Amino acid sequence: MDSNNDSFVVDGKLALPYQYFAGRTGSRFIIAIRDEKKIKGLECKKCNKVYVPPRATCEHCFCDIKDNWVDLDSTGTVTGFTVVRYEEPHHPVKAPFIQALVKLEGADTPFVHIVQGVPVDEMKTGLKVKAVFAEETTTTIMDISHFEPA
Amino acid sequence: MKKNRNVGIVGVGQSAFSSHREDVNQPELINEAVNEALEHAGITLNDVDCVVHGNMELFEMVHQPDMWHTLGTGAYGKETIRVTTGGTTGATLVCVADNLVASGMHDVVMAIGFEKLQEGNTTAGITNMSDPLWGRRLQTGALTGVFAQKAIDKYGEEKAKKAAMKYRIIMDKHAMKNPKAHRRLGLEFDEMDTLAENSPTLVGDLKMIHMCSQSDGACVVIFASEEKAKEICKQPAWIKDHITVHREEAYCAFGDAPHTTTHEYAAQKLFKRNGITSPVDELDVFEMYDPSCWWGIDWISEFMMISSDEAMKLIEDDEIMIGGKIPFNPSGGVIASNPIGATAMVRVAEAALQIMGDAGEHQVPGEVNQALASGFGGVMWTVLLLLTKEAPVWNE
Amino acid sequence: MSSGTDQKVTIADIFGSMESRVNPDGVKGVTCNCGYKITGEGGGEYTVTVKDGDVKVLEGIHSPDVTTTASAENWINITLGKLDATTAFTSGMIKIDGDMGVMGKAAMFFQKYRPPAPEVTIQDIFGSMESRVNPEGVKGVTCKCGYDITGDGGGQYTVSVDDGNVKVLEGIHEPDVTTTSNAQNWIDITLGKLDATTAFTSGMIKIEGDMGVLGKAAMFFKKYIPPGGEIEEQEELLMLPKVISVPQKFNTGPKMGKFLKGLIDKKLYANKCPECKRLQIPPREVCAECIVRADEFVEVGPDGIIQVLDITFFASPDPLTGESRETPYVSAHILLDGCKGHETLWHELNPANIKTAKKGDRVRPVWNENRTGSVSDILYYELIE
Repeated sequence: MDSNNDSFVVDGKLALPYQYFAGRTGSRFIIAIRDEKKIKGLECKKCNKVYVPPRATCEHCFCDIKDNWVDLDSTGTVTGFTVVRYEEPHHPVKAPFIQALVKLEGADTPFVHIVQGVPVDEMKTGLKVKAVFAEETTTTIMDISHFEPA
Repeated sequence: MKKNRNVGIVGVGQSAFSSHREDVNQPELINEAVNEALEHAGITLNDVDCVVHGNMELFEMVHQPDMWHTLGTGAYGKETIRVTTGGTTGATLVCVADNLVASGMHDVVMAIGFEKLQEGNTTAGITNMSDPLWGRRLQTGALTGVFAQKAIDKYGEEKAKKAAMKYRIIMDKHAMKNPKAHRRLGLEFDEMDTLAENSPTLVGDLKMIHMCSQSDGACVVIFASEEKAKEICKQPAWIKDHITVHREEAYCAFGDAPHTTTHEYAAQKLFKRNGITSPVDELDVFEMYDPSCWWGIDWISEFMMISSDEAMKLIEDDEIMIGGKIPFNPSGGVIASNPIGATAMVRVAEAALQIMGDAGEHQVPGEVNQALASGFGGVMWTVLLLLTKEAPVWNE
Repeated sequence: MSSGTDQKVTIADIFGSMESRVNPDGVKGVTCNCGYKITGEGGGEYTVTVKDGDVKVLEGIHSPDVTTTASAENWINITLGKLDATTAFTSGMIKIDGDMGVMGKAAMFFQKYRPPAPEVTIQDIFGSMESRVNPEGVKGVTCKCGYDITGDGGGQYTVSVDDGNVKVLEGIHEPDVTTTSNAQNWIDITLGKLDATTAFTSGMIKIEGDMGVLGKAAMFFKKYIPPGGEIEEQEELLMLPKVISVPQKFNTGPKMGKFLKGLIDKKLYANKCPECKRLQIPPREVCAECIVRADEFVEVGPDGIIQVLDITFFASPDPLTGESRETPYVSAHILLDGCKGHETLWHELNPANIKTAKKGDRVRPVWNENRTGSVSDILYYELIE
């Protein structure tokens, strides 16, 4: 490569405002957590599956399930986890922290959240956990503050 | 130009186009169009072999949408291809689906174009697509007064402005017949002057009334091999041919020198290889990607291979209206509804509905044997597609 | 929930408005008489007669094919959709005597009943604003929005926001942006019956001044609720607003690098195609038309003439910050001295020149004091007087 050419590196930036719509199904899920401290799922009666977070369409049989709301326990089981050990401005808490897949009692799908109250090197798959709801709400999934050992 | 085997459009679905779809997220919006298309084709998701998915980059600021849209697209466990080519995305999706079926790779392919423009900022998105070293600071989104100026220079101010508003109102009259259309304003020809006067200026002589909407919406088209298409559907709309023409980007493009536009180039080539010598007489309907009425009036002559004066006369004599010699955008066009990643596909979908006789209140009178659809995007590039009622016959 | 609308909805109004609510598709080809005995306070007896699509509503019961009996309260609730008709029938809250088949058709005879609208005035809309402030929407905002509401019941108001503090004043006071609308349209927009963008696009409302401010103004207030009225309960639908801001690095490549470095020395370089001889500015590696490398550089400009002016009034976000741009600004294509045809340079024109600048005018670059080899090394072009 010609090292004597005029190429150089310039700093750039890209800024874009946007707003993500949760839709009716997503809104009901978050608002129930915020206002009722309750985690809700949607059930496909045909496939006998309960989805958390809820989705309007069953991804297996593709039928409309958006009205089949079920209330779930706020306790569940960790089906997988990872320990985040680096800092990023968008992280909800300071590293190191445990990011885990939690399958609630009565649900067929796990969802991602944070587990606290366990030393990171003692964390295990299969741990029973329960949701701790946030005192100050933000109308996001962080209205569940975290999960802790049940 | 020869195809391995024929490809027919057998189902079309469109969500309602609107700027108020806070009630659905992206996969839920798409799902509306998917279900309508499956129902129109009379098949189920199990019959679909492959899903082609596309929208604009940078518009909703979510990544790998083809993955998390699976809930709405039904692509779970199916082969899925994502395509994004700017404003032409919807038309390119059609080209890809057509190629996948024509090649023999798949028998039934579902193509999905969507956009939720209310979730992002269209002008910011387009501006950020410009060359970061020079154009990004200067780009004004997709808004430009250049084409208004070009028409004014060519025809004189009064004639040009009158033609633009006439075209605008024709599109609204068409949109009023299309329940899916986003902006249905109920405009009348005698309001022309007051409308133009009262409408806010965007850039130069481009006013808000001239410009397309910013819509949320999804469009789905289902393609099948000739054998399958004839099983599924009484009257498929056959994809006879398509052409994609690109050019270099926008620097050094705005001076006083003659040049052939991508629209002209695409039209000349496509018509020549399909034996079409007089498009106005031989085509039955044209769904044109017209982001503003200034572009609309400029492009009639380019696509129809006629002089500017002849194009003006088509507008003046109502020949581009439903019932005219060559109806343009019976659906109301892009000015009425513009969910960008779906927009160019809506052109093809609407052309197909005209051939199938399923366009409802905006069905053009008489037989539709040949329909044209165009996509437009980026810095002036073109996709042009020719659809027919008769299955094409390929001679060696 | 008890509300003002309940008091306003009467059995007389429900039946009285029926002829104006006929659904032509629902009555097409139908002939029948449906009797209604509405009991209790505010009740009455009515017959809906349909004769081959022609609908009349009569007082009293006149040879009905089917008769429905219900209390006034239950019938009002069914009409408003608060009580499910099938549930009411199953549980005996309404009684149906006669031809049930006719009843099935009757459900399609009329369009939805809308309770009489509460009195909404411009004065009440603006008068209630201070109590409807949305703290999130006004946080850190300072601006003045004028409203000139014309016609019967109109008035002039200024919404003044000073770092989140909101005052609504009568009259127009030094506004950054002024919205002009007639009273009826403004009421319809406020109630959500008329889409603001549609009204704006078609010129039903006019806006003068800083459009960017108006974009923010949409977030200043919570929804207006008519006096004593209950709006149809709207479900809360979530939106998550974000600004993505990504730092990037770009390699210029040798051709663009040479061009950008030239700007530091106030020099403008184009490169020349060895075959077609056209110039490209900014330069590119190849001539895409001839498909050959274009290695020869030519100094052009820096002055030139205006070829295209795009005077932009639409306040889009600045791609570098996400904040609204100042408007109007001018995107311009300039034919530099030494260039011809399409060989124009894309930059901006001094906004101070907007009123007088036109195609063909001579312009010169205004250089940035601090030049780094970027598009901003030229602040803008300006007219040479």
